[in-house]
Amino acid sequence: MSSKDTPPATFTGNPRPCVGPVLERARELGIRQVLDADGALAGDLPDPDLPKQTLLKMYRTMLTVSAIDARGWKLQRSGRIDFWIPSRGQEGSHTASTMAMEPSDWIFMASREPGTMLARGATLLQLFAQFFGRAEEPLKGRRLPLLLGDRRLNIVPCMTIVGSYIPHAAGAAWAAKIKGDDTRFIVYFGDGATSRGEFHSAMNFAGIHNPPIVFLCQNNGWAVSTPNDRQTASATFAEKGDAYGVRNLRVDGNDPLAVYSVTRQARDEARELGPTLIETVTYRLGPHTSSDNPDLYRRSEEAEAWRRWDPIPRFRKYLERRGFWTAEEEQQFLAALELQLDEAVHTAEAMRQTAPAEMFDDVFAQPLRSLQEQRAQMLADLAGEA
Amino acid sequence: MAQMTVLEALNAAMAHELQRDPEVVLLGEDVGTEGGIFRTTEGLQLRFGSHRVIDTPLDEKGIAAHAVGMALYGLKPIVEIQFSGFIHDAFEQIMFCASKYRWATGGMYTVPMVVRAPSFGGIRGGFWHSQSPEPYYLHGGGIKVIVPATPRDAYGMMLAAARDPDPVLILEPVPLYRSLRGEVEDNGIAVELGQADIVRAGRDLTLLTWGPLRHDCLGVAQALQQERGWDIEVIDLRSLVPYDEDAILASVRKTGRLVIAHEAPVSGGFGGEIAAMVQQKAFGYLHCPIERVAPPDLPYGYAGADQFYRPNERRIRAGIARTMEFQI
Amino acid sequence: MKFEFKLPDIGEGIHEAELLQWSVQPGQRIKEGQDVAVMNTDKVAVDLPSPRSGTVVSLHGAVGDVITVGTVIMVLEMQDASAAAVAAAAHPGPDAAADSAVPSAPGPASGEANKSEEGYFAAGPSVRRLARELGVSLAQVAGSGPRGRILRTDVEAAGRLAPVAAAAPAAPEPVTARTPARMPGHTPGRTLRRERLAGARLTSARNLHGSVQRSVTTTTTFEVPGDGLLRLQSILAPQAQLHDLKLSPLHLIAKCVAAALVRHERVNATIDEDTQELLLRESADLGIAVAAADRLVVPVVYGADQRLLFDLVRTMDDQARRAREGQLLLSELSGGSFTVSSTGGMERATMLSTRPIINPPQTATLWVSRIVDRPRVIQGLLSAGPMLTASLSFDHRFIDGAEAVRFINDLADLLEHPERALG
Repeated sequence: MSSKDTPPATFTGNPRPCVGPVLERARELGIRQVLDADGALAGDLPDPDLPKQTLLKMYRTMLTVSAIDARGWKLQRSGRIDFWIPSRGQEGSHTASTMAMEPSDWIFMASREPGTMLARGATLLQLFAQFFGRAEEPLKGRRLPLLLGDRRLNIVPCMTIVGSYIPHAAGAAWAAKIKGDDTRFIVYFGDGATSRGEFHSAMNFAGIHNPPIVFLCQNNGWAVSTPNDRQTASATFAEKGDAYGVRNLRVDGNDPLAVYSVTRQARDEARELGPTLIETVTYRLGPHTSSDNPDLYRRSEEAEAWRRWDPIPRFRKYLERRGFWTAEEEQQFLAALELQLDEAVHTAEAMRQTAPAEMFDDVFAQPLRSLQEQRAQMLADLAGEA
Repeated sequence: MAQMTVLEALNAAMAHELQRDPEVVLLGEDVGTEGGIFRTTEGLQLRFGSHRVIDTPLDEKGIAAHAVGMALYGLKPIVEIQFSGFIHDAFEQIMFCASKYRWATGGMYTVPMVVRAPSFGGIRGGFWHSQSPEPYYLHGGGIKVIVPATPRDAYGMMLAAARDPDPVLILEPVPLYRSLRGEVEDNGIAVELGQADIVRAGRDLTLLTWGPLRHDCLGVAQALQQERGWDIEVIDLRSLVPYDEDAILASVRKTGRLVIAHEAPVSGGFGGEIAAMVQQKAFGYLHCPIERVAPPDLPYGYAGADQFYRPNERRIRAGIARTMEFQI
Repeated sequence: MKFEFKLPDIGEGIHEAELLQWSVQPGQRIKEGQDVAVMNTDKVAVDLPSPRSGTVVSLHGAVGDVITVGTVIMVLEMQDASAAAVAAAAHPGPDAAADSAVPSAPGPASGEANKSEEGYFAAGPSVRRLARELGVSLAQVAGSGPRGRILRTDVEAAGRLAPVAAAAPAAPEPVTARTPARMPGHTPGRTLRRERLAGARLTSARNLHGSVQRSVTTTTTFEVPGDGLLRLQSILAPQAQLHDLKLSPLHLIAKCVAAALVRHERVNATIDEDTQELLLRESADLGIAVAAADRLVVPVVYGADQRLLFDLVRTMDDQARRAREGQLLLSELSGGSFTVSSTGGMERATMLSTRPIINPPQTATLWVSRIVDRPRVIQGLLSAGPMLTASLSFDHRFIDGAEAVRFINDLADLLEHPERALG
């Protein structure tokens, strides 16, 4: 008996039998799709027929996200960065939806969406500078790795507390509506966040006031060790919108074209028809974070079964079928990517660390005198003066 | 120049801002159609429209959170929490979202919002309608906390709060809403935050307070001047973050005696923080220990608590007497 | 609690003695074993030591009185509980019953703490600060406050006595006034070194000495614009008010004189006539003449050059007040190195000059007028403005003209720019 057949002695996870990925029953469950598991056009949604450049950008971004993920793990395990939040398996869900928004639209991201930054033009160096907590990245090294954001890209970094920022996004959308602007909004959160009060607040207000926002819930099956059926008794997350009068749908999160389509439509209709709650059905192939061990609560067969729905090979097959991509191009791209990652890592690691004095900035618009005194005292103490 | 109650002054200030700045919006429960359960926002929705004076669902957390979002986008929301006792559901949104966006985003995103909370005891309101919640909001930075106690200060400081680029929590003096009338110059000029008001100058003792207690303290000081010849300096701090260290220190260096009175329970109250600062910076001037007059560490009851839980005249007198009679 | 010191049987079975002198006075803090009186028993003069520590409340008996053994001659207020307990144990008597209730060591026993609202501590922050300013060592002050705490009055009283050696360096204070590197701590008459009269000086001195046994006084009068003094006075006035002080030009003049004196040690010196030596010293111990009821008295501010301005002001004002009330101590009236007199407060007519008499054994003295508007020429233009006139008398035996002029030059410069004398 291999260790894969028996759960470890300490396994205390949900003893329910391992069911296959819910995407196997997508049609039956009303989960929107363009592609089947092999990347063929077999879904209930038509091919959005995107330009080749857009498709290739989408795919390359997904590949980059995956490569960053692999590299990030290595950096964390070798002690060069402190913490890692993996996004493996969810590349399509966030990249495609981000690309469905216009550059002037505001994005409130969570912690598993590096593709959102890349798709809007953030460089590898900027990302790795954030992972290393360097002073010269937009967030000045103040946040944990993967809690990304950049005002120049209209991307708001999340407040760490899960779900706390969902109504921030809704409030911002509401503000745009009050001002008469054409800006649209999208906010990313996971299945766990829907249990939090802020989700309820945001949905409740949204149903009444109709802000132009897409609520994008990435249901990856697990909130740390809590599976969906311990998170809610509701059969789906999408249908929670019904209680608030918010349009909702479920889409195959590992089908980039489907994700793109539904997000685009929700975005376009947001001003006239109000907000939409989109549940992307995807899977967290890796652990919750680098501090997590999934073997304690889920069986490895489950993750294995989901590999059939891995968005990257699925999308690649579609692109190859359309003649937009070849194995050789992939190889070249990945090789070049590794070199770019090497360079980004090397440069970012050498960048300046935040100085103690810089901690004191940005607490208020104008620093209070008390803070200035505290800063002077700290610097004096650190310098070893009496 | 006009004679206004505290309530009228708050209303006038908000009206002024709504008129002056199209980015100002008001939100809260019952603030629109009803004009607020105290009528603080009376007439404003009629004047400025329901898209700018907004009635919200019953959800303090949601109200505060949406206001954060509005502020991120560029509006200047003024949020009403119906009673300061209800503010706690919104605590995380106020203290860990609104107050932290600027810092957590490296200065990229800011939250210029105001949270208004009717506070303080004296209306027979019991525990959830008489709170003085400032201690929770003084810790950790990122939000200003102000406590006007006169019509003039209510007007000027509300304007300052609405114009501040950072979150401001304004604890409004409920017991004074209608009972205190005073001169207000309705000229749209804001009071600079962070300055104390020397209500009464004196040489023997510094009596430091904020909120409605300002008036109780002034009364006690005047009475003691007559009865015992003690010349007590009364300071209304008005602003808790930032607060006027210089005024407090100048006063203590003059008098050498400090009594701090506040309505929040004594342990962990702001009086302790001020006492620590004063002993740090004016140690050699202290003739005697610093005294705090504040309620004990228990909730504010309903029956009778306005008379004896809240620092009353007798307890303030006792604190002053202990200090003045300390042999130096 | 009070202690009555009854005249003991000093020995030899005497039953009375004559009081020759008191060695202490009411209000004074004394220690156990300290001599309080000299008694005469059959032509033998005996020092009488106190059996207890405490503050003298009252003395009973006039010099010359014959006092019977057993009569109360002194009443003490004892503060030190441990001394009382120890004394009670050593000398069981009527006090023992009361003392037995007192704990054997000071400190807040939990039972005690309930009785008084304040805990035990040696001295409060403001009292410690006062002690530093006055150069009083708290270790040598016993407290008259609750539970032995040192009070402000205890420190002030201690400060009036012979000043003790320099106190420990002042703790850092975030106040605007500068804390000096060392505090004034000067024993009257303590000198730095001695300089023998020799050479031309000795000859000259001997020549003069033959005629009269007094100094050869020469007086030079000079004037300076008073603008600087008035301006500094008004600049510092608010700060002074914060300290409850009223700053006068004389205070600032005193500071300037002190600063000038330490640069001219011979002007700051005193004369030992017997040995014909000049006694030079480190600090300027400045006497300020004060008009008391029927005469002039000159209390001395020791170390005037080293004191903070407001400390100097406080001391000068306090001494002036006590001078008028006749409460100066003998020790305050001697040991100065230089005297300043000012009739400014009393003047109605404008005094142009005078010939102040040197206060022996000093070598020089200064009189200053009121600052008065008078005509003056500034950069060739005639105008009216505040002017200060001063006359310096100096002993020509020890200070020659050139030296005097140098001193006056420095002093004039300081008086014109008094801020240079501060800090």
